[in-house]
Amino acid sequence: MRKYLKVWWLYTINSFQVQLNVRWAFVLFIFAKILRFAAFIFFLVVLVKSTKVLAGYNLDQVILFFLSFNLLDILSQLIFREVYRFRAVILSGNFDYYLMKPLNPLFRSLFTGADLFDFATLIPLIFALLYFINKLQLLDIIHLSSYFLMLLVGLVIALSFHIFVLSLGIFTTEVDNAVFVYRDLMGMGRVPVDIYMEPIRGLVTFIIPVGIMMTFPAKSLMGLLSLSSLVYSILFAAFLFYLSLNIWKIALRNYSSASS
Amino acid sequence: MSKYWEIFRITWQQFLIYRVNFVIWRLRTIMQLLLVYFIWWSVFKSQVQVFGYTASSILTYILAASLIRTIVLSSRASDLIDSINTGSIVNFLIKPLGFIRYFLTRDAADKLFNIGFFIVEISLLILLLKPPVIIQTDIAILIPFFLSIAGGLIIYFCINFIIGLTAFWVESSWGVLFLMSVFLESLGGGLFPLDILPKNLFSALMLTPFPYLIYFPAKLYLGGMNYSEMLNGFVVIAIWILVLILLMRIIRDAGFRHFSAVGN
Repeated sequence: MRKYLKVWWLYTINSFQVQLNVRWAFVLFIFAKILRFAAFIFFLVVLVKSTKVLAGYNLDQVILFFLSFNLLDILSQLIFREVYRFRAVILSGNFDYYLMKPLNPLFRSLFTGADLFDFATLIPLIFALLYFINKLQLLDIIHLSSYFLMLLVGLVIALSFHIFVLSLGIFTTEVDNAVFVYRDLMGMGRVPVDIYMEPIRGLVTFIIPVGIMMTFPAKSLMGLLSLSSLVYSILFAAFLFYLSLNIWKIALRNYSSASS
Repeated sequence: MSKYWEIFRITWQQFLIYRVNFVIWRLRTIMQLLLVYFIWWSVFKSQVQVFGYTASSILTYILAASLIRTIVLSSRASDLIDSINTGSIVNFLIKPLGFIRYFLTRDAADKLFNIGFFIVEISLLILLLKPPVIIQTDIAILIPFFLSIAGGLIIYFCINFIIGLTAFWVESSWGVLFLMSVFLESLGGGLFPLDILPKNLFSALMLTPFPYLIYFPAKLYLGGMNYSEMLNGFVVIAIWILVLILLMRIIRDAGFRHFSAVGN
């Protein structure tokens, strides 16, 4: 475990140094992300101030859903950034080196490109979340515990999806758009999934499962999540993780080296 | 002319090589559309009119905006960044090919390919969701609508191309490109009609090129825009096109003067 932590840290610092080489581009990236975030919040405020509610939620609750979505989205981008570079690794044949080294290739492919620039956007987001949690009077141990539990469930599902994307990369070499499909799917959770009509709502809640990842944490924080939904979410995440690991193993068995 | 036809054909063939990538790309646009569609659909479950829009006008706006996005925002001009970074741009210096025309041809191929897919997707969505859409049949509205789309795609091509040309001087132009896409996403009118914004902000925005890429054509399609607003819009589009084309040519020439290549 210590070895893996040390390797992760070295790769993270290395990746940060590479980013610093084109630091102004990354400053623009951060600025653009903040602008996108602010524009969507602004839209929600203008919209819900006029309509009073969106899918039965008031403005503060809608903003809490959006902030919670962003927390999970940024966390998964920060942690699993290396997946975005996997296609080049497969096409160049460099994945052979991953297999030869005494380091789990899944760990190498998932975690070794953590994006510290994303970390900078995480801090103001956490303060904003705390502000709205306090405003909605949800600062108690039971609500917060279930919130963290559901965040963890969301991260396990995100991890599973990223493993699926890596496996798809080995099978087809087409990772780039697949990872962005995942991002767009998750983007459907920027607002509570209650806005969708059936059967899309059921599909994005339980099957895909945007609702479990993005809507359930905020719902559990507000005390709106039933115990059966919570248990289902945990079992679903565990099953998805198990499935993704098995598909990864099959993908590894099917890997044939590329390049010259 | 035939050489540009070949470029068009080759671009289509390239799309067909990476079929899964393309299908996944289209899947992404459907998901983006569904999010915006259902936010507004949900609003109108409990309201009859919001910001002066009815359910049918706003849902028509969202679907029209999606069509316009497909036509205007599908572009290969950002490939220019790779051409400059990898040095393959030297091909344009030694081959009898128009530099800008080459990228325009690739853009046209990209747009036609995307439009084909969009027609199938939107037909399916309309069949499944049955939105109360307005079918515009007034030729006096449809002509300015198509003209505004043409204006929008020229503006978008020029902006993208200018950003691509910055690769002559900087190592990574992707930050600028990403910033531009966010500006478009937020201020282009794809998420909401811009006239729901506070009046001062809306008036200021209408002086920038962004609303003319999605909002202005979509709003034209709905009808109800008076002649003076329409005329103002087209004047701003014409000014931006002139400024951007001039800027594009100046930067292109400066870029080629600055560019040096080594190797065999």
